[in-house]
Amino acid sequence: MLSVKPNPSNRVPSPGASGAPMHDPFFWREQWRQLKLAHCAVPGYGNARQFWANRKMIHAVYMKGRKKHGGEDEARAAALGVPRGARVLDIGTGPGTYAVPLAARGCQVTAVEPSPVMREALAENMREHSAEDIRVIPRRWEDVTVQELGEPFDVVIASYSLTMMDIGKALAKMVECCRGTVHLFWFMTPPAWVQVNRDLWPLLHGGEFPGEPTADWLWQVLCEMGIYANLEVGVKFQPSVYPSVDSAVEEFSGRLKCTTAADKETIRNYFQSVLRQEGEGFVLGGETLGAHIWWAKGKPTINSVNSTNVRVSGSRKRRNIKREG
Amino acid sequence: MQGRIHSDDSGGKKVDVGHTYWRDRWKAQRLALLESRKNEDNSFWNDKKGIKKHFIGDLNEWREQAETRINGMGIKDGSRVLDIGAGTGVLSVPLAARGCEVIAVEPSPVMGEALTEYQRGQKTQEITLIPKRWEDVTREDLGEPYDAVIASYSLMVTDIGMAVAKMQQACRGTAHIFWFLTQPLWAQVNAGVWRQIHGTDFCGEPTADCLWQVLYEMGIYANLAVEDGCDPAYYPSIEDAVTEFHGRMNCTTPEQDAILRTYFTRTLAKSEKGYFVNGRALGAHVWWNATGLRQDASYPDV
Repeated sequence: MLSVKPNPSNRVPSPGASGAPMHDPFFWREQWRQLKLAHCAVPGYGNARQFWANRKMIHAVYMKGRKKHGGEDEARAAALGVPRGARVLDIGTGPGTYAVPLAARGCQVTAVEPSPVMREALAENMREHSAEDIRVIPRRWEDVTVQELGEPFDVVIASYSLTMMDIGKALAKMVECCRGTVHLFWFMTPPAWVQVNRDLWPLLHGGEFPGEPTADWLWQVLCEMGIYANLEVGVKFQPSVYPSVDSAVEEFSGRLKCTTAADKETIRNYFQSVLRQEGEGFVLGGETLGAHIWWAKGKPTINSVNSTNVRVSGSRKRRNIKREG
Repeated sequence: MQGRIHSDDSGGKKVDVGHTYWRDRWKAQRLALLESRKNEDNSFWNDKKGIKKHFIGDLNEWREQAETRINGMGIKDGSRVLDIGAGTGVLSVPLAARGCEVIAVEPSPVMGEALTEYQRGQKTQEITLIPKRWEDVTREDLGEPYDAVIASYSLMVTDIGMAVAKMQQACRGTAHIFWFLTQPLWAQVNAGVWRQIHGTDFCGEPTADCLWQVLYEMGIYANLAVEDGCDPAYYPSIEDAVTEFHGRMNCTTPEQDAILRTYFTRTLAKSEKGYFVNGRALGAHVWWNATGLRQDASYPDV
């Protein structure tokens, strides 16, 4: 029998102790927000919603790779070790990379996917694999309430979908609706296209191209929230290979919103100098690393995440997110 | 993402502070820690009986943890292994028992002696001892590269970047660092009562999140597995806890001991095993493949 006295020093041994300058417990969440804000300020770049509603763009930069790597979904989903019948939430499902194989294995899957183009691909993928029993919520994670999700999930997955501006709030909501394990997948190193944009955007449009926050910031945000997660590094993308310099110019003319012949010439000159000819193809940059970050609820967390401090976007106000029932 | 966040706006143009932000943070925290403990009584590390009690006390408990760690590191039997800060041989000896060729770096003569004693008791193959601090070990001391380089709770160094680069350089396989992910329980006690006793804030060790970021900064993209901390130490009485922390807390007067006593009376929990610090501490196993480093790796030359 334990007789445990309440211990005031037992609360939090300063999570993320070494991370937050001046002990600001919201430092990394704010850094994340600032970088996303910088993106909003890039003139003419557009936002995620526009990007993911653009069928042509999605097919050019996303589906192309998927066709090549089809069949890996099953292995990836199996690696998560999700038991049959588990309740699974997949945030930013895309074409169903995790949702479809998990549903096919007998999991009860809820998929959150705001892009209509992606939902079409998801529907097709569901039919193809006879995994039609997936509840699809056609909205952004920011706009989904915990109430409408129902019973807590055994597994929550967010794979390359952490584009939220208020990352702390998005993560707290995942924790709130999870009774098991949360799995996050995100860029460990910036993908090659980010470097291209960083290099070329100033030349074409002036100003800076900020890029996305990477997994190191994500991990710091989790530490700040008192969540100590495991992290595994893997290769996310092999270097992109283009059949010709022209095809790279074509893809990036779209990505970089370039309209004039002079702009195209800039891009062509750039690729002529940075692409490496290997065999029949032209290779861009090195491999992109990805991080798989995961933790089990109540296991490696120190302070109870039931009362995760969340700063409402842009303010210093904290509020406690309480777990339902 | 380093170098994108801490910029100096004074000149109007953003200045890239460079690739040592976290390394500098580690250094600053270590220096603050050293400063706050400069008057500390160092006798603990020279007290043979104390060390044996503390580190060999329950060999079976250590052994089980060591086996788990060795399996977790995936070190193959017969590998060539470098154990930095080997201590009493908690990892070195079981590795030698698995037929590994172990070279142990351990500057404390008391620890080194305990290691040799442990190794002989277990009748494993010999372990080569380098009786130096990791900072002072030379390439000649190390010889051929290692299949695994380990530093388990031993990187109490100011220049962590240099220590890591040296591990990297000595390694042809995987490198492993075990370190505090949160402040250990004893440091939580220190943090809880230091100000009352000394009037200043207690400085703890920099934690594994900082270490992981230092690696990231160096272009080393490491894996991290969270480990549950050790079981707490149990004290037969409050007075035993006061006696142990008397030195750790730099107590010199009866008044300071009294503050400690009051604190423990208020905070220690009790079970049938005795009084214990009621809290949780986590550790981290940080590891990476030292071969095939990326081109953007930027670690210092050693």
